Amino acid sequence: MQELLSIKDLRVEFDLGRATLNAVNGVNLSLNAGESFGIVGESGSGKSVTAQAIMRIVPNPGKIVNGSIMLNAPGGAEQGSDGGVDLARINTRGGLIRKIRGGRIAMIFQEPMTSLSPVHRIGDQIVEAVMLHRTRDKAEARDIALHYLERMQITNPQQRFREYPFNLSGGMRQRVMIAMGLACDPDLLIADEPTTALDVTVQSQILELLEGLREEMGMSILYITHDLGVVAEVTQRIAVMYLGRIVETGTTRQVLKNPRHPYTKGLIDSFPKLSGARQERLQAIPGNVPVPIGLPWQCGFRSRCPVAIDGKCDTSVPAMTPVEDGHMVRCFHNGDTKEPPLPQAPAPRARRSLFSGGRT
Amino acid sequence: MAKYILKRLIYALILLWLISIVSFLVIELPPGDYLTSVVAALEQSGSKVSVEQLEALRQQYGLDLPSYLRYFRWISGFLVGDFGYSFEWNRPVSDLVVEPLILDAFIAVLIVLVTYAIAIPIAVYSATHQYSVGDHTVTFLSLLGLATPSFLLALVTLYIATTWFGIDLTGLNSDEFLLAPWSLAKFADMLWHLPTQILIVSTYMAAGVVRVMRASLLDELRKQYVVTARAKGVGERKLLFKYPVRLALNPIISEMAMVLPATISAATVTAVVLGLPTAGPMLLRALISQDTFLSATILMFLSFLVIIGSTIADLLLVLVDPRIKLERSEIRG
Repeated sequence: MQELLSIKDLRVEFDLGRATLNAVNGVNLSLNAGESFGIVGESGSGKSVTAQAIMRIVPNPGKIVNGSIMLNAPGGAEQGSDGGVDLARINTRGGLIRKIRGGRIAMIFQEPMTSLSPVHRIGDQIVEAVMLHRTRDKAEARDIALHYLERMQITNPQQRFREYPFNLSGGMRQRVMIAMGLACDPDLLIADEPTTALDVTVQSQILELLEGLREEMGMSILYITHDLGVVAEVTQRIAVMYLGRIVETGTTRQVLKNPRHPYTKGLIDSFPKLSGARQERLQAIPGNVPVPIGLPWQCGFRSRCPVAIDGKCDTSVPAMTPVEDGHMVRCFHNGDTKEPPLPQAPAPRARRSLFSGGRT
Repeated sequence: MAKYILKRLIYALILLWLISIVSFLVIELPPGDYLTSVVAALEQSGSKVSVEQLEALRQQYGLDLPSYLRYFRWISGFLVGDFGYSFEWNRPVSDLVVEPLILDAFIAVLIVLVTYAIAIPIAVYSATHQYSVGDHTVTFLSLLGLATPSFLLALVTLYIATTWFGIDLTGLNSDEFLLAPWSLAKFADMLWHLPTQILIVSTYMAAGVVRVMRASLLDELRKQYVVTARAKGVGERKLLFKYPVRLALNPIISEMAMVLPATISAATVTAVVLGLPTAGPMLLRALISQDTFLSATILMFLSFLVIIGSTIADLLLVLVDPRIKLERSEIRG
């Protein structure tokens, strides 16, 4: 299978002045063309920042400090273009990233209520994207936009085209967002919590639509979600993130049926199941995700882990270890390999002395 | 839409009528009347006024009538373009006020335009460079501007222009045009003198508008739809002006309804300082000498300007922001 996107050792930091927040802490990820992939994690796991890093829209003061995000050429050799482009090194204000944003990678967001401009017509917002990437002809762009509104099963697209977002329900707006993303025929669609803000019935409709279009258009979809239900329903492979690192990855089946990391197990136990006998109480994972500022060099999950090994989990970080074909886990209960400590990064810029007159 | 405008106009007329009552009442509030001040002036210069003479004058000016009757005579004249008689100038008010009021309206519109032309670019720069040296400078200057009365700004400008550059910025026209009839040359000369006042008042007004616009743009810049547009591949500059700036304009358009009255009062005071023959100084003088009809008429027209201005602001807002919709019945008319 052809690789579309390859993330290597990605680190994203937020320089908060007094401290540095390590939002993404060495993520490795590979996404194939046409694949449906899920990144699962709680708030603060770094999953959204990873997605933002791909689009290079990490909000200030976030910065990619390490790693690469290779986006391979579409269709490989047949397009005649060699190699890909490293999104981590691209100029975020340049022309190339603007071609990629929307054109090759589209993104839809969690809040359909706020992610469309309230004062522009829906049709115009889609046409804007189409005219940036697909055609310069306004009439053609309009046809394309209408086509995708129709594909997203928006009733009466001709009329909706002229309406404003405030005329639409949340589910409709999310369909519009998706139509806008798909209208430029991207290779990859990043869906950041695409159904979180919607009713459950609308959720599954939208997921079904997305999956149908993915198969038909041959694009990849990267789902960013905290919802195991979404993941189980639509993804082929998943990665579970915790505290800026991937802790377990594999096919969706492998990870959900045979979770090997205590965090993944906890996540699954805390998720209600409809099938089978009535369960006892849901098991919540005790504690909260720590704030990733100045954390010690140890397993990120140690503070909440029921099976932490003293003297091991608190002194080193487990490396990703294969447990089955394609199934990898970052836990000392599944192997002994340790993550090599970070090459002592350019000594965290010697603390500004009180007298240097820097900004405080 | 047409029906909406009509409705607004009817409201405006009712409002004007109420304003006419209130302003007439307020003008009548001080003890005495125009003749009291005339008598005082005459007595100061040594001459005596007999009681009979005074009564005759009272009757001549209609000052013996009760207030409500005089109000009624004055306001009913409005319908036929008769705004009463100015005691002090001894001429019909309509002869006196037209020229200064046109000038006033002209200046007010220019001030509003220049205010926004100054304020919007500065606010956009300030918000997109938040906490930079430039932003702090803008913030400092606009707070200073807010705290400085416009007449003081006018005085300082005059002082600097006269003592440092030897330029006389007062008046509407250079001396040679003062008594000349209106001509193209006189108009051109006026355009040379007007900017002083317009710039002074606009700078003063812009300080407030910058604060509002900067705050609202900062809000908009953080909104999700900005990220959406960026994720579509829209260039940063186009994105800035098409989305957040566009939305950040709404509050300052609705603020126009407030900017206009403030403009007129600031323009009045600066016009006094700069010696401009606008309605402002004339109003001030008429108020001091208790020239009832003249001052009430000027007040009426200034209110009219303000009401027109805020109606325009409301209509603009409907055009700019689709979320503000007139009620269905009002649209269909």
